[in-house]
Amino acid sequence: MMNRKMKQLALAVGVALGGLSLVPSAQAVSVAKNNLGQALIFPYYTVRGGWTTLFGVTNTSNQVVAVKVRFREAYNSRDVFDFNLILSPHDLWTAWVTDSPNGPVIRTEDSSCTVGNIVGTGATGVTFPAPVSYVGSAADGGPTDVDRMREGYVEMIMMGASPGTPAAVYPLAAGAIHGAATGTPPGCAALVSAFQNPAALGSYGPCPTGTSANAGVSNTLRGEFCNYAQIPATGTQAAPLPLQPLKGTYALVNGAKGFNAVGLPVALQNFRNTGAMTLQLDSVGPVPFNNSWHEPSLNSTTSTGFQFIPTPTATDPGALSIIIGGVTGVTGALMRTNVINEWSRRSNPAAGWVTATDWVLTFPTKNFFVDNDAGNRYAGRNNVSCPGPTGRCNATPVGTAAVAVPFTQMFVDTSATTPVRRGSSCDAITLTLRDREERASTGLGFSPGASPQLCYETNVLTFNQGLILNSPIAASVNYSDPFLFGWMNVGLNSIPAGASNFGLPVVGFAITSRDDSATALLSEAALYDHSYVSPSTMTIGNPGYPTNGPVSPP
Amino acid sequence: MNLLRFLGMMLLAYLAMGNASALAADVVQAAPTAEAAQTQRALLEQRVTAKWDALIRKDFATAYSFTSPSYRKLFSLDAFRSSFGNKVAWRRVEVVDVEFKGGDAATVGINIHFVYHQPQAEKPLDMQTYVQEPWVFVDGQWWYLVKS
Repeated sequence: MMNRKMKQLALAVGVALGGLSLVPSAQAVSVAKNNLGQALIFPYYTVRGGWTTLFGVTNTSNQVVAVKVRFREAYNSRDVFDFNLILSPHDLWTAWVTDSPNGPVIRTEDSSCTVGNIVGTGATGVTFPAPVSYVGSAADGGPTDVDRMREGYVEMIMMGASPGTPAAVYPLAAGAIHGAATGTPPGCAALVSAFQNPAALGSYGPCPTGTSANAGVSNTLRGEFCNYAQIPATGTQAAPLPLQPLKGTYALVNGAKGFNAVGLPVALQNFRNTGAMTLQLDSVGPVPFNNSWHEPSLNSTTSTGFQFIPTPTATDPGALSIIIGGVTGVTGALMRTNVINEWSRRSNPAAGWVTATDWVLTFPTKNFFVDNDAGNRYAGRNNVSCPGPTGRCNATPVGTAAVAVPFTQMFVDTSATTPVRRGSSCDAITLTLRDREERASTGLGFSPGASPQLCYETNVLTFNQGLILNSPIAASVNYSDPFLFGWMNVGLNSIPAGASNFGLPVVGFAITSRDDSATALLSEAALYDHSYVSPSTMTIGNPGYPTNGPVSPP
Repeated sequence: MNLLRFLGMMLLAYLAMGNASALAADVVQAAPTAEAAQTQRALLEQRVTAKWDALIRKDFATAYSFTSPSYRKLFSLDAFRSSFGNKVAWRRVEVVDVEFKGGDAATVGINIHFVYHQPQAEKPLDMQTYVQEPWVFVDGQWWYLVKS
């Protein structure tokens, strides 16, 4: 891990290089245009109001790939359920989350190895564990009940990749490969055991060749999952292959209403260049934070972040906006000043058809800026296992003002003399709502409250109380104009004092439902990804853009 | 809850069930008995299940008859029918819990078992979800309160 001075130096160099260069560095995390990457962000999951959320993730590579799957609740991105998924080469894994009286339940009919084990739970499922991350000493001012887990977003982050063959060298990884005869991986139990054994973590090194067990590599997680950014050249493969293996899909299915909508997650390419294999154990006792189930996270990118942005000369790749790695890397890759999409709302029961639209706007890295609770291992900013190279070490100490930039308001701040656990973290936004004939609304309102703002990590905006996602934290864009449908431009221009407006890091979509009795059509729904405007520049450095600690794990 | 209103409600419920013989005993009691509440729950569960049985049969006219009078004044049967899609096939429901909110409203938690056929998959998925339905007691009967 770099110390603070080294980090500042590296940051300055990164800024200088970024400002001068029009070509991305060899490792630069960005949103993949081809929807393949090393990390996937599913903008939303919900089990409310009859909704079930289905997930699919494909390992398009010839490697055995370990993936951290993490569900984060909508208020403050606290981890409510996570497990590791070990994908065979070329495997496609599916699962879904649905509601129960005791909260969300995950089910799968897939046999791929998972740690904690959810294999073959199609009939019964695994109920999300009772809330831990936002209750008791981890409370953040938000709700403390089970209901809080019923919506949020999901991140899937590649932890490492293994050749998986020969099996004598890679017995753990080979055990995750589906058997040709049975279709079932034979070694899931060994993987479960290894991920729960600190002695089996091992260390990184080149992938060994040979055909017999390799001491220090075989039967260790970091030894066997030795690939990450690329598959090295071998005798039969002349050049290294880039490894961006993950493709995702998701579907929202309403079991009570009988309609569905499908979408693609945001794929981040070049997320890391080294492995991020961690144990499926909490960061207590002998397990330091960086080796625990809290990592990898979206703070784990080792790459600088960039976006391709339009240029007056229309040259490609155009100018780049570059921010150093860690959570700032992903944040930089997702910074948007404006979110644009369509809406439709017709509520007149005599009209023959009724429509409703909800927008989802998720800030998947917000918690690393606004959740400052030094002693709380579930907080985005914490100092568990610090000082030292084994913790996130990104919390602001007591007596020092924590900086939420690019966001405005701390959700939790225990550095204040009187600790703040606000239960929300609001950023002002602007709304421009138009119909299809470019007329702008002249009677725009917003509820709750009068001023448009987004106060959570996953936000739902509805239009004139349409509310098809049944989110209790939804805010409504209310208009009195006789508009039926059109488009809206959301400005993410909350600018804290002393900071420039680079926008906010956001992902999401619009979902619209239509009931049509006039033409005898049944109800249907559709999902539309947002369009975005990127900032023209980004500046790093407090108060312009704090880095909030090192990459974790390093 | 207003006691007279609740007793009146009990009277209507018992009459609806043809249980007039139990009526006198209930009327003289000062407070609703656990038995009366149980009876009310049974009546509500029967209505919830009957509505879903109709939906499972795709008998939307019958299902529509369980919606609240105020809904039916605003929305036609066609509008009700068109509020459902055809992406899932309902199989069965089970009432999990009932929470009475005063004497004239309740939230009923049900598990809906259904089949969802992913367009890209060979086999349909057997799925279930838990939903909470609002029901209201109007004119001596329980009605499904549709969110519109």
